[in-house]
Order: sequence, then structure tokens, then C-alpha cells
Amino acid sequence: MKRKPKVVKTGLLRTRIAAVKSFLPEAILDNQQLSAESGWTADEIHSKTGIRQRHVASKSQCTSDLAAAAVRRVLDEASIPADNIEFLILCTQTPDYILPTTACLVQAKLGLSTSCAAFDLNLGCSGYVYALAIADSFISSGLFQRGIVATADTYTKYIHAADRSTRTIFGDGATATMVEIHSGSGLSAFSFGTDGSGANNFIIPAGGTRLPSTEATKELTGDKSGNQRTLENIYMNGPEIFSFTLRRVPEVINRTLKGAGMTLSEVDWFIFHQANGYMLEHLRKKLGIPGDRVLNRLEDVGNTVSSSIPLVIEHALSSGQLHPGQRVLLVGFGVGYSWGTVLWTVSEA
Amino acid sequence: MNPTDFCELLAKTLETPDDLRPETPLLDIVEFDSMGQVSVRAMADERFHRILSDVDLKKCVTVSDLQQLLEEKA
Repeated sequence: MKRKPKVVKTGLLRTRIAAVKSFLPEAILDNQQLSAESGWTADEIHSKTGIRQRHVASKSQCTSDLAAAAVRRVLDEASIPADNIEFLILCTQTPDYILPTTACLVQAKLGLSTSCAAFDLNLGCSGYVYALAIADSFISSGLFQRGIVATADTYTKYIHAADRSTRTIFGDGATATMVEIHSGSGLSAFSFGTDGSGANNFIIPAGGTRLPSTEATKELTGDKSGNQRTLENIYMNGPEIFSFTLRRVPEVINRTLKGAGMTLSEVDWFIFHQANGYMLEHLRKKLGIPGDRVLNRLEDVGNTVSSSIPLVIEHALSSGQLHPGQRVLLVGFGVGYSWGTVLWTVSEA
Repeated sequence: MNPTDFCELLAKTLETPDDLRPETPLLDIVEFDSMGQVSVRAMADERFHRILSDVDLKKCVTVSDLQQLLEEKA
């Protein structure tokens, strides 16, 4: 029997976002550097993607390094001792190792309490919303009172230098969001969706158990657009991802708003996963959202996968754009396919 | 939409300097790469209220085929 998708309203105990901080690797890949190898001018890259530069992890910088740096910053920002953190959820698709869990490495690097629950969540562009939902479940159930949702990825390590379809888009980075129990407003009306039939449109085909790494999987092949990659690199079918977004994002937003008993005009701000500028602008117009109610941060960081939404939040909080009581719709969508939304009411600092 | 207007719309969408004709093969248009296909899908959504897929586009050999597909579904 086909089940109606649910919008989950959370209980009386709310989860508030107390602080958000990020860490971006120092090295930068800008459009001038890319134009020399891509056949596009720097301005063309900007007009096609909305991106001017991306941060790139060094050879020795791995996901746990970026995540630990972001978590350290959020602990400092919130003035919370490391041993007061009860759980750490790390959303990543580029773990340091197949095993152990990268969140365990971050726990050790930072000296978080050994009674702290720590685990990874393997999701991409929808991952921040999913991680917030897990954190909210922990807190609203009374299991924990304070924890950290971290996001960190080093996609550039899996992107071939000759693949401009991904190289122009993705950047590396990490964020850490302090979440804690709150008696007022906070996170509410989560909704989710999954369509694994789109898995092959955004994938690293080789290197897992389905297709182990061999000499053959390291062979370079080209596509019709002139991009080159191996089976061990990220492959993204951009046009199909775009069509998936057009099909699913309006539907999930409408579902969330209906579940929350709200209309589009009652949302103060929209924060979408920062996929690329062209896609975001088309989505905004399709949904009929005024440009001055959408918060973006793409130009200086690129698409940072699950870090993209919290990077926008961090910037909006520090620049004073977000005020207590404002309602913000967070919308994640991408690799999987996977998508999710949550309504966040900004709380007092 | 008459074929000439559609050719103009597609050329503008793809930002191609080529003089497109109904019989022009889509794969001969340099700008019909992955970025160009995103633009075409955006145009199809906005102008024809259709969300195109790879399966749809594989059926289209020429500019005229694409116009026919979009107008059939519209």
C-alpha cells in the first residue's frame, strides 16, 4: 500500500541552534586558474555556476582535520567546555578511512568526553537536515541536552583535474553547529524523501565493494562534453540532478509548509543547499520566492555538499541578517537522490 | 511556436553563435554540453512546463525533434 509521506512535528522540548562555525582550508582554486585549463573564461565560469573560488584541502588535510577545526571553533564561540558535549554527529561522504568512524577520530582529537556518543552519517547535500533531525530526536526525547552536528567533506580529492563539470562546482570545508535543549521555538516540521533510482547520476563508481579498485578502474575516459575522469572519481550528471531538483524540491517545500500550517509568504528566509547559482535562481523563480528572502553563500566557497547550508547560516548570523523569532526554511537535496527540509525558528543568542 | 522562433529561443538559451535550423543535429551544437543541457531543461520548465529527462533527450536528434517533444508534452 502506498503510504502518504509524513511531515514530522517535533515535541514540546525544542532543539535550538546555539552557534554555527566553520573551517575552510587555506588553499583556493579560483576561476582564473580554472579558465587556463577549462576552455571557459573566468567570467563564463562565474555566470554558469555563480562561483568565483573554492577552498581545497591539502594532500595531508583530511575530513577529521577539517571537522575538528570547525568543532573547536564552535566550542570557543559558545564557551562550552569540550567535555560538556554529549553527542557528535559527523555528516561526511569522504571519511578518513573506510573504518573506523571519522567522528571517533574527531572525538579523540578534541578530547571530547569518552561518554560522548559519536558517529558518522553518510549523506551529501541533504545531510545537514538529516543530522539536525537526529540531533532533535536525541534532545526532544530527553536522551541528551547538548551536542554538535558537524559536516565535513573533501570532495576535491575525488575530482579529476580534467573534469570541469565537477571541478568548477565543488569546494572543501567543514562546519560545526552547537545544538541544545530549549523550551521555546527551534527546529520543527521536518520532512524527507529518497529516490535511490538516481544513484548512478551522482556517484564514485569504483573503490567500494561493488566495484573494487583495479588497474582498469584507474583508466581515464572522456565524455561528450570533453570532461575526463576515471571510475574512481566523482561522476555527476548535472542535467539529471537539475531535473530531479525541479521535480522534488517544490513538492517537499509544499509538504513542509502544509505540515507546519504555513504559507510560503510566512517564511522569513529560505536557505537552499548551495548547488550552483544557476539552479538556485531557477528554483527561486519557479517557487515564486522574492530574491530578497533567499540567503546564499556560494561565490567564495562553491558547493560544499552538506556544509553548504550551515555555511550560509554562519554568515547570516554573523552579518546580523537573522533575528530571533524569524522563521527559516532549510532545504537540502542532492546525491542519493536524497532530500529533506526543516523549519527553523531563530532563537535568542 | 513557429520553428524559426524555436530555433531563436534555443540559440539564445544555449548562448550559441550558430545559426540553428530545425534540421540541425543537437549533438552538432558545441554549446549543447552538460551546462547547455541544464539551460535547455530550465527553458523547457519555464516556457513549456515540462521537466526533461535523459530518456526524453535521447529521443531527440534534431532541433525540430526537441521542439516536437516539448510541444507534444505541453
